Amino acid sequence: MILSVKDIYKSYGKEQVLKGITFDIEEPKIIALVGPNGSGKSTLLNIITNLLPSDKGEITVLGKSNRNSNIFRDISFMQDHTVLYDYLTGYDHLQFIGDVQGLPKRQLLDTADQIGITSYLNKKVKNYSLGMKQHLLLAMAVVNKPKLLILDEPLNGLDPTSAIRFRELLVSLHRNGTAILLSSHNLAEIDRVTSSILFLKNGDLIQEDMSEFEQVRYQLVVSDWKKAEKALVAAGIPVEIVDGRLHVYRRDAALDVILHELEQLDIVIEDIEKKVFGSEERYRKIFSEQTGVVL
Amino acid sequence: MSLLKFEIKKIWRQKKLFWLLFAVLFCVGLIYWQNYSQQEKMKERALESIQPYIDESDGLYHYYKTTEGVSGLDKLQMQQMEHIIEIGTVFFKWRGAIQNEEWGKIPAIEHEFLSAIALLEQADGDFSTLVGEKREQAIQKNDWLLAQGLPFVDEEFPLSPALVLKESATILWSALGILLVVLLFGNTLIVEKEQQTLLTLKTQPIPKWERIIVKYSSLLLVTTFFLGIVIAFGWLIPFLFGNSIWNFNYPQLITAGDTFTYISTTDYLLRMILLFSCAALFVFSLVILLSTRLKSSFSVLVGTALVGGAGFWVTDLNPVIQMWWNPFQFFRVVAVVSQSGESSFWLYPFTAICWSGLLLLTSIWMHDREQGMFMMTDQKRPFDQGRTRHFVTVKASAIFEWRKMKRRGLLRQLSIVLGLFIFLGYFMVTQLANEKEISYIANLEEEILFYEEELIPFTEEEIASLDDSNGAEKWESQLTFYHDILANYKSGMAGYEHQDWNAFYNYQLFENSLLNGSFSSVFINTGAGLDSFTLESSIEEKKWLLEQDIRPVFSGHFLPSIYGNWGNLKEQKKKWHEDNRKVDNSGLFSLYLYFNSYLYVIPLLLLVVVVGAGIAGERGKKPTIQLLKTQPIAVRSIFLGKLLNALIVGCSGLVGINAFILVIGTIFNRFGDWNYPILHYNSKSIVESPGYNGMRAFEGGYHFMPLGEYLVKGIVLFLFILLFMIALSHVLALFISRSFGVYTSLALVSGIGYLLSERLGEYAQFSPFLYLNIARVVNGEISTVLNNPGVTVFNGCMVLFVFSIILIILGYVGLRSRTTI
Repeated sequence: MILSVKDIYKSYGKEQVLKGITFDIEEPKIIALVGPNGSGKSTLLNIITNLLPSDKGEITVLGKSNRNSNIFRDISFMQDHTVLYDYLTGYDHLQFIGDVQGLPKRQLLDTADQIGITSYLNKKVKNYSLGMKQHLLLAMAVVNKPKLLILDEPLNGLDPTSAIRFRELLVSLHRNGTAILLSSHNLAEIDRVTSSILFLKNGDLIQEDMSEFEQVRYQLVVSDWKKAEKALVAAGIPVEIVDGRLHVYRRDAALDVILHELEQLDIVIEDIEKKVFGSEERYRKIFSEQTGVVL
Repeated sequence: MSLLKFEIKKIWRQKKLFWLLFAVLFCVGLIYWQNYSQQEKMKERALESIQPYIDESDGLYHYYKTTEGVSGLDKLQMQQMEHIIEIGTVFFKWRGAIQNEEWGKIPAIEHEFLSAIALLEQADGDFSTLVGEKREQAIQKNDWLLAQGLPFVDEEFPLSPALVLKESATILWSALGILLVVLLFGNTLIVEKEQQTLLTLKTQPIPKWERIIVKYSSLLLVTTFFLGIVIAFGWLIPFLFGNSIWNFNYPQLITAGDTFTYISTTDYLLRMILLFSCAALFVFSLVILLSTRLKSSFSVLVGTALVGGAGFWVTDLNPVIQMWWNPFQFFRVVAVVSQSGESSFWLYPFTAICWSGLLLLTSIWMHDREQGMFMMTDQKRPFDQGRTRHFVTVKASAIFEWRKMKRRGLLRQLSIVLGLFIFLGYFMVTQLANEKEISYIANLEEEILFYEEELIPFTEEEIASLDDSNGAEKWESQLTFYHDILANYKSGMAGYEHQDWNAFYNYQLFENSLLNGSFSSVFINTGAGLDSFTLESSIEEKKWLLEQDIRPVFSGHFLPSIYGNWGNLKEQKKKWHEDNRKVDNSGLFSLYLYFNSYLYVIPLLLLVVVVGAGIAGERGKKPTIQLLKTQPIAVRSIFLGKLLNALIVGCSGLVGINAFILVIGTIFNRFGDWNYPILHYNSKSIVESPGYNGMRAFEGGYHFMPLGEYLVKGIVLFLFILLFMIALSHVLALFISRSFGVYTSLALVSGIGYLLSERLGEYAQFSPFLYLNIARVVNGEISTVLNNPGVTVFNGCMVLFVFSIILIILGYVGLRSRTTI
């Protein structure tokens, strides 16, 4: 078991932010934590890393209590840039981690090179841009090759090139056996790296495996939509009619089956459009229910 | 206007006004409480204040009586004796009024006394303890009190709103008050640069001049608030808790050169307000200028303190530049208010406006720069060539702390500031030592001339004109005595010129013995108001110096001590102490002055500011503690690492500062005399104990300790004090989230702790705060005043060490049980 979060409660005054959150990460995979602002994502990550105490509940990381500071030899937490010392250089930060965790200088330099921060490693952090700070934080988080990497809004301040490199790095870490738990607002980026998403809603966790939910919708404009509807329903393919257009949902995206059915009845296909449903659609569905507002 | 409103809102939200309010309330409350606690001794002090007059009156009465018995009194002497008897009667009434606490009657009685002295003088008599300007002042003050119908007031520990307010204002509207306001609000502009909130203002349609003027105006509003709360509390506290007279017409003395006048307390306070406002105008314009040129709060505050402190110091020591055009005169609020004539005083606001205008225009005109006090390169070389080692966590944390400190450049800034401070201080000490030596020798030359050209020829003429052989014999013995004195003076001068210190000390010893009554002569005013402790210890000091053959330190013949009954002759006492204060610029003696003049407080404060923030320094707006907490280090290891680094840096810094002073003194003058005698008071319990082998005077016991021993003890005690202060600040930092809060709490705890410690009596030695006063602990003064033989350097070190260990253990254990910090 890499991470076990059990029945976590947290309140700020009268406001209950987390209501019995429970989930496990059993194998190295990428898991995204999604929720609107103020939903408690950062609170949950801070509780997991013992930066905040929970009101109730228990957390174990790699079989140890999260209160044992030695867990940080095997996990890393990338926070926001306010935790950096403005007056220290990037290398000073890495060197400190190297000293504490007993990492060789070569490993620090390799990580810096991998993340692409070598050119400004010896400048003081106060001269860094937001993106440079994010890169440094990432380097600090991965330098010890953690078994579990926790990232709080890691994509903030990254330009498209950096975002792509960052995504590739996460996938690479995952392939090398690192479990990753990240919170983000960028749903499109999340879809590109993971299908496992934890939605935080009203302090509750809605755990979703997007591989189950993910669907493909085909929108077809046909010569006779009523005839087409009957045929597809008879073939066991559910259909929706919106403004005279056929909407066909298929999890396995078997377009050839649909085309075969319509061809048999001589129905002419005038136009066809494919759309993949991901975390954003699911997010819209979940949080529209909460707020009553269609997103 | 909207920008000013915004500035005020920011100041309000920061809650610093609350701290200011608290500081003023604390200070005024403390003054009132201290004065209130001294009320039971008011009668004693009132009696003491007239004692020198009574002594002289008694002395004169006995003289006339003796003369009357020996040779009879002439007509004039008869009249003089009558007036002396009249004065004696007045004293009887005066004492009675004091005993019965009839304070309202005293001004009228004093008037009778002053009138009787006037009559005595008309009869060619002399009342030497109240002559010249001092008597004129007493007469004018008495007239004022009578005209206003005011009673006698205990000016040393007053309770009336007017005088409590004046006393509070004297402390708070001084350089100390300026320092307080600058510490609290001086970073208002620079902090916006640091936190980049200035960009919000810069991206609004607001010109630079408006931003600066509004910032400056907000600081002046804070000053107005400060003035207001001092007035409010200074008036309100005595009004609420006291039962005193509401009258702000009590007279205050103003001197200007040879002239003097009395003004009402209201006028005096208005002058103080005006001068403090001038100081605020100047210092805040300086703060604004430095804020536009420098990049960190520390640099701005240290820069302001350095410029202001150096200016104040140089001005205070050089009367030539104590002029209306000198902006640093504003910091000498009390001296300027009480020593300026009407014409020059009103030039100060003009000066303040000119200087502040000039500084503000410079701030507006010059482009903003963002640099530290000292230029540094952009690229930083990694520590230890970038190598890493697997340290144990406490060591890793301590090393990381050290690296942070170096990267911030605080040590460099601190070293340069302290270096400048020491150089400047040393320059002042050198100047003062030279002045004292020159003045001492000039006085000796004058004395020689006086005896040679005036006193001896006059005595010889008197002898020649006398017919009576009895009288002539008396004059001749006096003449012989004068020749002895002259020979001694000449020998002293020759000793000085040829560096024959034996001869020189023999001259001083003769002077001391003369005033100690070893040679009887009616022409010598024996004692001159000095107590036997001072006289005897001065003689013993000269004997020690003779035995050890030590080079003299100027100036004065005497050794100032805590004893002596000066009554209300405070000015004379102050002058006498200053005249006899020894100053030398040798290495050891410079170090002694550093302890004895409480200058050690400056590096102590700076070191505590640099290394004392502890974990609080990692919280606040930049919660870097979060980064440390996500490393495999327990918070208690971070605590210990910080503490370890602070102790190493603090103690090394402290030793370095002391060594630097010693080296500077040695290079520019000489190392100094290890065996130079330093007076050590012995408490009554020790003096009365069997086997006591120190010296005894009427007032108390004493012995001498070598200067080297004094310094070693001082430095060791200082190290333990630093250990305790660092431990205390680090533990406070566990509970307080901001560095500023830690420093403020530390200052408050230490101040209150010290004040309370002195009241612990026989248990005082167990209070670590008592030992903060290094000079008074090492020379045994506190032990003697409290009559507590337990207050020693050794016990101090032990108590400070034990308390430090307890604090560290409490912090460590407390962190084990805490889930968050």
